[in-house]
Amino acid sequence: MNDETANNKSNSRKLDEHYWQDIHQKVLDPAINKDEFTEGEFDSFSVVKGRRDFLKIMGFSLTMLPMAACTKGTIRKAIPYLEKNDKVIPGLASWYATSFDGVPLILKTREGRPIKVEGNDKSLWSAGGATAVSQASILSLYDSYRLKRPTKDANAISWEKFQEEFKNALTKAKAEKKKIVLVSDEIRSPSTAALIDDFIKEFGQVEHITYSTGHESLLARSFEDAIDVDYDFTKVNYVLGIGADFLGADRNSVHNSKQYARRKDVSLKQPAFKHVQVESFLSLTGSNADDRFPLNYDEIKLFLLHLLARVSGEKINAGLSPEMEKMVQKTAAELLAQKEKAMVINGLSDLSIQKVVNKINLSLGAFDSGITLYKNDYYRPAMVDKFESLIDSLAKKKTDVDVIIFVDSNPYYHYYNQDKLNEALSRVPQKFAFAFSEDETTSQCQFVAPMNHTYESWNDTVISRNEIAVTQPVINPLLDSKQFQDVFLVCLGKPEGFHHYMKEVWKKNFWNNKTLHLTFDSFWMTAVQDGVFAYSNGATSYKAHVDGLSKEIERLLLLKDMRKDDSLFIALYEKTSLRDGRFANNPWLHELPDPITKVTWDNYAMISPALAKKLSIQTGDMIEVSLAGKSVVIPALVQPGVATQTIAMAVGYGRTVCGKVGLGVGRNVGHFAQYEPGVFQKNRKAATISKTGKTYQLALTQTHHSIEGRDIYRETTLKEFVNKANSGNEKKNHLVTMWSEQKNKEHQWAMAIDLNKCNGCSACVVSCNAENNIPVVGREEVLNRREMHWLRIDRYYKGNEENPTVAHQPMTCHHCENAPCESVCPVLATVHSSDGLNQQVYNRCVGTRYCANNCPYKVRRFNWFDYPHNDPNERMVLNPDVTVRSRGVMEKCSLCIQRIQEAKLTAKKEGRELRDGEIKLACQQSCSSDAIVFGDLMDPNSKISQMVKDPRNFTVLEELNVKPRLSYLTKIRNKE
Amino acid sequence: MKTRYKVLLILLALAAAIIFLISKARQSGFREGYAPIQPVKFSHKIHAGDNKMQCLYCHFAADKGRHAGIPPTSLCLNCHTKVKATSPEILKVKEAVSSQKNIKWIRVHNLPDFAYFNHAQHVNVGKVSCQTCHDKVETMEVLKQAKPMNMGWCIECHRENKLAPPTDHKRAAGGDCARCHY
Repeated sequence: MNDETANNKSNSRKLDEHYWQDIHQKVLDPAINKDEFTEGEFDSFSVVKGRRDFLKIMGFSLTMLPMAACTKGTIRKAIPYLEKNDKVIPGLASWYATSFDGVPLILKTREGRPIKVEGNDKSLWSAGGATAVSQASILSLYDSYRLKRPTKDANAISWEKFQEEFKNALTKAKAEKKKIVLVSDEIRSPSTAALIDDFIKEFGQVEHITYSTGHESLLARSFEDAIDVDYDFTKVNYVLGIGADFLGADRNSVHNSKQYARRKDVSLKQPAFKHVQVESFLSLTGSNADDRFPLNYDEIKLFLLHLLARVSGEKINAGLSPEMEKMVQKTAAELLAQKEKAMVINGLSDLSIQKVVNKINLSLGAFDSGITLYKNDYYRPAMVDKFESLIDSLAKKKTDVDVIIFVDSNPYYHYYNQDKLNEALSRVPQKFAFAFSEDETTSQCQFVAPMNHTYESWNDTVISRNEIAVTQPVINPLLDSKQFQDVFLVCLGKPEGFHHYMKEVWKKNFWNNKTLHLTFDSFWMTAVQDGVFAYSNGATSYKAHVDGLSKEIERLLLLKDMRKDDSLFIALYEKTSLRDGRFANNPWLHELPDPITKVTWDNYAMISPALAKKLSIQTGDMIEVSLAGKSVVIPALVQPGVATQTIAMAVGYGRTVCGKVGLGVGRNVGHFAQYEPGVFQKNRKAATISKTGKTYQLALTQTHHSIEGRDIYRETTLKEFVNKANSGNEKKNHLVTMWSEQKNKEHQWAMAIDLNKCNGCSACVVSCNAENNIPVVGREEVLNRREMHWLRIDRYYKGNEENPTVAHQPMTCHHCENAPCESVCPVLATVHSSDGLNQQVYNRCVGTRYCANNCPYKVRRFNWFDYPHNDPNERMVLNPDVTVRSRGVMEKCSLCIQRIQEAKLTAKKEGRELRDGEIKLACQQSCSSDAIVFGDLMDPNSKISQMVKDPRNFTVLEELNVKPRLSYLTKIRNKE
Repeated sequence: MKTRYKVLLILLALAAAIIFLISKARQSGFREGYAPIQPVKFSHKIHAGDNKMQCLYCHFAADKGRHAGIPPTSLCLNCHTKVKATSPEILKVKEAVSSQKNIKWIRVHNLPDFAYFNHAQHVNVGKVSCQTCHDKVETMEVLKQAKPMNMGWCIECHRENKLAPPTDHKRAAGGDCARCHY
């Protein structure tokens, strides 16, 4: 026994050098954060200082107790339905298919109100996955800061009045032959696109400008057509990402994650898969790459050009540093070895780069395998040029625009040059805004119309070349809002509404396979019910072509000699949570720790450890970043994996007109962007940093999750794995126990997570929030280490801090068989169930917090306050099957016991046994990567039983002999 | 401090705690015998007793969902457009339906938020009769909570039925905390 302890100790010391967690620990100041329990949740705060204080408090409590008891027993009312809807059975959920942000979903409604979002597995494209944003969208539906009624000059008016004013403005402009401008987000909806075409036809002088700050339209722009793209990872063995966040913030992320995880599944017989990422800061996608090259923006350009030279044979006259020479050589060799089995995905907002990437893909033959281009007639890609020229000509008084209509678009926040925008748009006499909630643009418009939430609207979205997602309303509009399409239709003299219009469009465009559905109604009902519609013959594929690149190469080569140049670059990016800022009033997304930095409620400037050392900046130092006369004061975050001269900052923060939640959170950095033909350039050169001397505390959830050298995360390389199935997982502990074995019963629940599939996207965390009524605590309380998430994703780094390998590990209650929390609870509030769950009984808990102290995984959460659900709107999102916990109570993952119970009941009602896979936990359901498996260990054929027997299976802190029911499968990296 | 003060203090503390606990307990649902006066003088005796109406006719969801279902107000009018159509109590119901202003009944059986109870589980799967928990409703002029409806009372029944063989997945009544508390 003694030998073993000694052995463990030496092991942990070794591992300490292996994995590291905090950048200060590793590089800057090893003295900081040495102690695992330096500060935090368990600080003592005593008001009792002596006998007199004690007596005072006792006396006060004595009088208050009977006072508190003098409340009348509450009389609760029971209000029935006036008339019964046969489809609504109280206490039973109904599910409706719909979609959000292009992700097909099914919505759980209880007594008519939507409470939970899940992925729609009828979709071939998303196959049941969902994003963090779509999970959180349900909370936005109940946002009390939504616009409540139409307004004119900020005074409430009726819809009739608004409609009248709107129509008058349009007809008057038409009669006087004046220009109308319609500004909207990108459109992928067949029906909305048709409506806008009709609108333009009716009012003649309408210019439709699609406006977005994203890079999604770049591909379309590079082919100068409405070209959309589908990536198929199953057809390739090698993916090179160029600053692309295709697993994170990109539109296709659900589909990509699904396939990416499938390609990494070592249980399937398939050729090895490798992902290489070239980027200037560590993105979610980059953190999953097998190989990663952190390069500054100029270096990426150079890298790409030399890759182009090697793959396509173009001539490049620029030198390379020896290190980069090696990178290019290696990547080119790997690409050429795979040929059409490789593809390059670009995420950098630069048209020339996109064209170069197109050329490389064309030379490889990727357009015939992994990348499918198709002409999407319903796609209106962002027309940044049009918007820019509109602003330009307005500012220079070259055009006259009489009416401008903003539909779900917020240029008064996004646009990089607000002065110019203000000046230009002040020349437009009539401004209309259709918006979901109050924002910077509505505050500048005379007329504002509240828009429906997606879940109150009809719509459709082309999500891939052979699938359309249908959005149907799941609840009547909660407020006096309308979807903008309905208002437009009234102006067109079609008051039947958009639902009717959409059916007409579908009848004309999609109801062609009449053998399957004899009537249109049956066709339509099936499409709405399924939520997705497979249209195989709709989109025509597009043959990629790339014209001469000499101009592009010349443009990209307008860079100085890299080796001498040490100027700084700014890289702007969108977070997986807030995106471009449109979700800024969603507290679930604010409190969701960033998958990489683990910061909540803020944006920051990420700089590399090398740069931090050079400028002696620490995490939390307020720095001023300036570029070409623009600047921002922002906290620094020393982030491993950032290119040495890059400052990366997230857009979407610092909203000035917004609901209470998002107002003033973070800082707006959008003004650093710059217009370039086709795109808003988000990578800028020649920035400067100056220290302000002030400090700011970032609400990180990571520092107190230090690994402390323990054997927590196991990994191996593909080469070793092929030779030995349990490579990296050899360590086994000899354990003796004084506890008796769990007795076999009907079920024994367990969960396993495949670390090789998990990419850290955090959709599961938001899903868990929604399912289990987990409160939002806010920045202050996160700083006090009192966040309430039942499921967190730990992120560890390994190796060189300038380019570390990253590990994501979801961590939740392990439901230990020998649970250490159970043996210390003085009131038996946490006990074991006969089917192997570690139960937390809220009504027994007295809040000693002994259990949390004794939990080796630190997954228990204590309610330091009553987190009120006073807001009558927000209350509606609560899951009625899960208790809302009160102050003084401990809580933690229950393995979604309500779902287990529900599935058991359904099986019992139908008089059958439970089927394997029938119970899907909230986290498991939303996982696009299918990394989480849950099931019954008593069933030897169940998937979980197979996973537990897998040679890759390990449990965290096995040496403690707590016998966790949550186990992991080792990570396998395809690298040397 | 003198001893008698100490004793007094302890006694006071005890008394306060007892008052507090009793009143809290009453709030969270231990109201055996609770029979509030309802806005409409509805008699279960006449309907379920004398006229032998099935419970499920009105409480339509008791075998399907978590809640038994309070009968939709318009359901009363299935019969009462003909039967006793002019009684002042029925007029209240008609008024509620025609004015779309629903009757607010007073809830008799209250379970605390932290206890989950599912009607279908008991009625449909467990084949427990309504009277087992609600007592002889068909004899009640004014509905009252006849059983304690506290945890001890639940557990008693569950213990008796736990003996059912585990293979008979229809009947086994669970005894774990997280069967009801989550």
